[in-house]
Amino acid sequence: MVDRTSALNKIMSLLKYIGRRIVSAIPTLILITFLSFGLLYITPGGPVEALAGIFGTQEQKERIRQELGLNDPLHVQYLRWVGGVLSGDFGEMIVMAPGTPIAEMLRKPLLATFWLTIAGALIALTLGLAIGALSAIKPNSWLDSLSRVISIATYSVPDFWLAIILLFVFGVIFRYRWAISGQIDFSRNIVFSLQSLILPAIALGLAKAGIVARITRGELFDVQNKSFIQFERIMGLPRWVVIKDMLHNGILPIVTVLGYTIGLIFRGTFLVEVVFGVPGIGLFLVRAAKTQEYALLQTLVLCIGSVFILINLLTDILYGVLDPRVRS
Amino acid sequence: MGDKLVVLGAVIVLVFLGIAIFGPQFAPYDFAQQFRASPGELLPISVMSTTATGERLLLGSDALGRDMLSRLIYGTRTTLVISISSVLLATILAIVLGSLTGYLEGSLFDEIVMRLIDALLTFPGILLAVILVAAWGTQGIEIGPVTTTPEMTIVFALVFTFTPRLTRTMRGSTIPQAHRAYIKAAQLMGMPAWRIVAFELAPNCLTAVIIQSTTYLGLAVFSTAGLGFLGLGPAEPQPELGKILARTQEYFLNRQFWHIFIPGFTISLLVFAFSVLGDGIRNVLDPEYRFEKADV
Repeated sequence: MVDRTSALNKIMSLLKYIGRRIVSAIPTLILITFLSFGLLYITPGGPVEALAGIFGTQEQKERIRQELGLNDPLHVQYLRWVGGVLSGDFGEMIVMAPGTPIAEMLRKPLLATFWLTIAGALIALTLGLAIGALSAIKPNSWLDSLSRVISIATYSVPDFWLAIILLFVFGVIFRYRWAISGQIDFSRNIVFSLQSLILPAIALGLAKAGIVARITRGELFDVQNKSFIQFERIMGLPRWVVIKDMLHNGILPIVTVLGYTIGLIFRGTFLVEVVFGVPGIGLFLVRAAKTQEYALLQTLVLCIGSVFILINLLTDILYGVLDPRVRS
Repeated sequence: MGDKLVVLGAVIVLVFLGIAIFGPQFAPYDFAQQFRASPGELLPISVMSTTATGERLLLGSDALGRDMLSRLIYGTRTTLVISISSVLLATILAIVLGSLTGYLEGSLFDEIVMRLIDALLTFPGILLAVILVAAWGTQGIEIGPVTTTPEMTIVFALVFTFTPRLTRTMRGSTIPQAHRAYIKAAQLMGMPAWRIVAFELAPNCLTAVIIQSTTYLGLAVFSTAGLGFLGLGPAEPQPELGKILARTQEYFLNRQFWHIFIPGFTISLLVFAFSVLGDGIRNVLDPEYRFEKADV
């Protein structure tokens, strides 16, 4: 009986914590909508020219002018735009696929970028956590110096260049068909999509592994100076036991690293997508930028901002689940 | 080993600065001059090959027959000018904004600026720069009588990317100083607020923001090259390292390995040198420092 109430209390406090986190994310979300909305108004030609695009006809421009209601005060325009977004109306494509609603075009790129981010983060985390933990346990050892050199090297090498080199070696020299396809679409061909995922994920993962290792080392450095770890070491326990206990104790820092890595990889995807021609959010963003497709650009700003807010939110919630002390 | 790395970084940075400043003096050709391939050959001209008119191009040419070495030299110049000036401008802006918000902590001005910064920070790294350059376009903008150049647009976008975090740092180091006795004394003497901030407060809070801005130089080179790579760089024929790298996929068919390797290697070397040098400067100014996530 006592157990059940305390369990209930735990769940309640967790739910409260999650609720508070969600509420605190709302102001940032609102600011993102300001940014996304404001994007139209900082364009050189003004909103109508921007939305009509370079090939916009006079007729289209007139329609856009009426839809935007440019004579209304700014806050009315903003509210109308937000209302449209909330009901799933993001506007239409004008240059790339004239007349197609943007909401329809977004599903596939979002999925492709999602898988790419997950795969890249997996590689970066596996390598980064391993190297970071090993160098934290023996600071200033050869392993630590090696990890330092690796992390500086990977920090310096742009992921898009790494991607080009991988593409050259596997696609041009070895002539693997999957290396150059970039088609990540699991609804169509699972095996081929997995194969196409390999090179972009490696380019992303390798380029960020060094940074992850560096952060992991920093976060674990404090843990390994704690007395019980020192004690285990003096006792001569096997190294993997010590590392396991350190990781157990340093789980919160690791969660920080996790959330951060996913953000880092997500940010890196769009350059790598351009190299491999992966039809993801990044490639979309660059195309929208080049063709000045502003409605799409606005939607993408909203999307990318929301993804980052979501990543932070999930990290925070994971924090609360793992450590009850954070909840209060 | 750390010291040696820093010296290496400093030497590389100096060499690159030399290239950027004196480049036009020793670049073999103009960056826009086009050569024809020798009879029976196709463009791009390979490394160490001769053109139709008999010039020997050390690093060959790009797909339009322009000398690769000269383009790299001028490209380094463009990339460095954009990245250094954007970090400089961002630092100045951050010092002004950070010391003001720090001094006026809790005021409406502080609230507005900090919330704005929160929103900008949601788009980390070069994402914000991509979005801004996309919105402004790379053709240059007319602001009253002045028309900006594409390079200026990129610098503005990068300033927007770097300023938020730098401002936070500056504000963070200003707040504890703002409650010190000498500031109270200045207030009691009836010194106007702008003078207190500009002459008493800000000069005492610069270390952290300067450390951070030096570590941002590498990031700036990376971002400038990234923008150029995405086709959001300076307009043709102006060379820029990222732009040169973006064209490398054109050399896939004739397997010009050096053409693919060299531009990317140049960018890596620059980023490497700047980040090692930044680390070195930080270690001298702030020995207690620990690697943080905000650095990336």
